[in-house]
Amino acid sequence: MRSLLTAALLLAPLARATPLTPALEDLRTAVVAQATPTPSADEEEDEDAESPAARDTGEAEGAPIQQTALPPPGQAPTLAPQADAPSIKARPRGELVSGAPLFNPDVAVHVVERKAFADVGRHEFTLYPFVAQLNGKFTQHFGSALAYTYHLQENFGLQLTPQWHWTSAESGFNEELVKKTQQTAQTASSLLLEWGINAGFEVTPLYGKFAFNEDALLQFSLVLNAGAGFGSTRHQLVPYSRNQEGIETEATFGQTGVRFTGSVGGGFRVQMGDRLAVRLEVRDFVYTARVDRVNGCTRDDIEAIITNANNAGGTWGPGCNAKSFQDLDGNPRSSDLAIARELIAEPSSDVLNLVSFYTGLSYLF
Amino acid sequence: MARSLCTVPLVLSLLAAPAALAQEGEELVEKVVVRNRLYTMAGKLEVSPVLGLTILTRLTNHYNLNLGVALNFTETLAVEARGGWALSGLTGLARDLQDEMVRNDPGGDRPKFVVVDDLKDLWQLNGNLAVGVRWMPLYGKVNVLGDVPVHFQAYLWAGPGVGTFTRESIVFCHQVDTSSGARKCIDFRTDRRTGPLGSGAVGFRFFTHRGGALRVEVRDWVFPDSYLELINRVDVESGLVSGTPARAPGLTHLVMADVGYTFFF
Repeated sequence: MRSLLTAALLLAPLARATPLTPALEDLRTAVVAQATPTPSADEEEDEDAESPAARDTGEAEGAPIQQTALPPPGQAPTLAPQADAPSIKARPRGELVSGAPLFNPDVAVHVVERKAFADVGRHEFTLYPFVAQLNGKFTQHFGSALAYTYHLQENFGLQLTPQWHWTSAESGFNEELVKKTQQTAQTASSLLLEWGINAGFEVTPLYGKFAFNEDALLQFSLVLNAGAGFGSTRHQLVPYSRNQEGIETEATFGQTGVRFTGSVGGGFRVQMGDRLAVRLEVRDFVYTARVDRVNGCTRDDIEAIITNANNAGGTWGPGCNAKSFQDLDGNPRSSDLAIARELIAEPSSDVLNLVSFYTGLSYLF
Repeated sequence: MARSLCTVPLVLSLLAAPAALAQEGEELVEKVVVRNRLYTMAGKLEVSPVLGLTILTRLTNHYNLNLGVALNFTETLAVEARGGWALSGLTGLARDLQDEMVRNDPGGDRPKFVVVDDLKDLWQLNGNLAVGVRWMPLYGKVNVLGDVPVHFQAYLWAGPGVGTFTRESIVFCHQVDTSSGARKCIDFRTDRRTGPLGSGAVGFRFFTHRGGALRVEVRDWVFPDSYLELINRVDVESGLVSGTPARAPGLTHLVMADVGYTFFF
């Protein structure tokens, strides 16, 4: 653990100093220009940033078109215009500057922010150590997830996201309803997602930057993703309890099968150097639920297990995992059986939305 | 141990050099764009009408109409007072629970739910006033649709306040009507109180022009809960007093999504 922390600390500053990729060099030299004389918000901002030297000469102020070619790395940029720079009017109309027709008065060249980090062709691994459900009405999930993203294009990537919930149980609110009013959510509405894996895509339609406390400058992207896959579901049978003598009884669960899932989400990816990024996302894991079996057992199977437990004989189908209703000593858990029978007595269906907050750390290469 | 300590400054200095170069480059080329804020806040007064909606409804539902007045002391710090009224009520789930509870006759042949505890988190926020400090450490710019720069701020907000509250019980029914053949409560116990609250929020505001910004935030209103336990329903339906206050009722969190608009003066 200490090694991992050290490695992360070492990587962060190195990543910041990594030279830009060739593709990014083109972006770096992209010219920021505005063909229309009307001042835009950006121009106002750039005027604020203008150096005193430039103000003194007055050249920038009177120029109908401002151009700022960013210098190569290691060379200090000059904000003030060069005194001997050729007049813009003297340049041929068709000349392209970094691919942009800056000197053609008929073409409007829009302001494009320089993107400091290129994503195209890169792989991104994201570890989400903490995933917490936000809409925990009848259920509560906490887990971890891993995501692999291959950035096919600058704004489009393919993504694979496996996740596992290390806690998936009925919410305290649901338990309160059971305890105080003997009411509970419909079986399908309180189905729990144990694990899931989704494949899909991610787009980054917006990017921007922000200053933190007037000091550090960080780049970020808005990420939107969607995918489809499958996941394993279960239902809580008996909740965790602790009696007055302090004896604890662990919660028990019944498996309710693998379901198809879908997901949509969005959030921010904040770049922390060339290779590291922090992700803050909200994702909605959608899955349909129709509960007609518990641990592979139908209602008739469960009746047969109960009959068998009472030494009255009884057989159940091959898909029914009767052992999952037994305790460690091989004795049938009668309360589990009774609750499982109730759960599937009236089959219910629902579309569940598991909306969770994901906090993750990405490594790009 | 000593060797490790000696290694640390060496590693740090090696790392610091390229990091410093990168930082220097960024300062020269990049930082000015955001550091020179297009929208300055220091000294400005602002007024914000805000609508808040409950994010996760369990037993209560709220629509909070607020008006906030803030003074920005610096670019990153402001004090804001906000107050208003929340339209509130019980959810359909809570009404179903009330009906189900009343349907069971505690004095009938098969008595059920004779001695019960009331449910948590049933206090509804109505009037509310809070004064808080807003810290806005993030100022940024995002390009929308390629070439429309939108400036924004992200902030944290926290402060105390006071509110008026209403609580309608799920299990405590003063009077049951049986004229139609079915048991129906016509007077659930309702409590009112005025008390302290706290509020915290995290949000963004996106500047539309020098005079205004769209405001989006997630706000938690937190206040002490209280409810009765061991309520004898036979007694309360006979007009007697029953129930004891819960010993550790905890706090109620009312998490809302707020959308509003801020006018700068």
